[in-house]
Amino acid sequence: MRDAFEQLNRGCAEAIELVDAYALGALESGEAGALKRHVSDCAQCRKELGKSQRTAALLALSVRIEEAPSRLRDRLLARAENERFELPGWRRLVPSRRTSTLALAFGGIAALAFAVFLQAQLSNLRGDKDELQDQLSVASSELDQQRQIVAVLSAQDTQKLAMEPVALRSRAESVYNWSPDNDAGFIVCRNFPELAAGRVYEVWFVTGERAEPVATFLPQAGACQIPMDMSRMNWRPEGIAISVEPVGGSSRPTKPWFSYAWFDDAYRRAGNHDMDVEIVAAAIGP
Amino acid sequence: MRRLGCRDVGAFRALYDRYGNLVYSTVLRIVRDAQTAEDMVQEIFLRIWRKPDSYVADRGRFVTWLTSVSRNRAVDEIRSRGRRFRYETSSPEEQERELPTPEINDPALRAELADQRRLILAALARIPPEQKQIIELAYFGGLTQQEIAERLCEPLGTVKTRVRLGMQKLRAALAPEVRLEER
Repeated sequence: MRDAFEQLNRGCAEAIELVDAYALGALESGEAGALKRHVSDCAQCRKELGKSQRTAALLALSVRIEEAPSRLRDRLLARAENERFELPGWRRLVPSRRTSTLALAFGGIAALAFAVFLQAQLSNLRGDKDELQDQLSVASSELDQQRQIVAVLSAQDTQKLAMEPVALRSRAESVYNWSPDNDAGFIVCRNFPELAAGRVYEVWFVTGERAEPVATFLPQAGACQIPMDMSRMNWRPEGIAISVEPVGGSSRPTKPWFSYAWFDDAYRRAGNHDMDVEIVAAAIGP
Repeated sequence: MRRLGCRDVGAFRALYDRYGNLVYSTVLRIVRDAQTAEDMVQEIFLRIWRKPDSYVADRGRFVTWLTSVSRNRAVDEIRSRGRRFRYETSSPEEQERELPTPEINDPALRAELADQRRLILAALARIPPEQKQIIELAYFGGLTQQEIAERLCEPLGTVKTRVRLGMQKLRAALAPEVRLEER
């Protein structure tokens, strides 16, 4: 990663060498990330990358057309019909991108104004300096979180996955939104039960053998909005889960999942029907 | 796409009838498993149904956006499974075959795609086989340059050079089509 970044800092010539491989999806992740950062500041290389990407996109049109099974059409249309009336509920919780972006942008501006206000207060109220600095730090952190959420919602590759509560009668709902391009995501939730003192919800990325903690949170009136930074992740999770843990979070899950979702339904269909049990067992250990 | 935003199932049906086979064929070419391809086509179309605004018109034509999304999702799939399908290029006879007529339910689109397919296959046929092989391994096989080098037992530098040369030739040969995308 570092080598690739340093290489691109030497100029556009090296970046241009990489655009074709990037357009074909053939760069290693470190090089791809470095190129993305370079083109974000370089209009000329961005233009070259665009040409390569449009050329690569045409390759898909070279495939020989096969007929999709008719059952697929039936299944798909039935799902669309069913979801036609389900989505608005989530739309209230996760508004459309434009609405979210606007709302969050206003939220961001408000947070920024608050931060500026706090800064002014800081210069006037020397006696409260420490407290105000703490508040400024919180406001700044909230602003960063809002920016991260806006970035995910605004991305072209944003994906959304509803998580299922394990308890049958639970009304808890949560959705994981993420953008691979931004290496970022966030969870929104509602109807999460209040926890006993000393307990928090903890988010995990999981595979069949592994569970890595991502964030802890306490919902406000049952609702939450938890940004997650995945830029340092060097492995590919197969699912996301939430458990209830002691305050401060755990390094390994100590309780069964409260709620979870798998990125790949097909994986589950491929014979891993008991995977949730297996993962909990593997994660908790003997 | 505007009608999808209004939850119009009829519009969604029309969209699937128009592009369903194309998306299925793109995904099948990559994952090489009919059941997996079906699941992924469902996922791709449901994603459009749920988020019709994910397509931004000024970034190119809908059909190329859709096939790119399909290709990327299929490649993610084979990468996430850690599976490496044995990649086989189509025979020259297959590549020369005309686009079969019954599968795309729109005569104008069918004719347009058939023309484009001929152009793209012709452009691919004009580049040296070793460059074409690497481009196809990357695009349809989902392999990185490093993985291609390992698979073909070629130096990484050779693979990188072939990617660049092959793509330069493709860009030149397909320049009119690329300009069409820019409009």
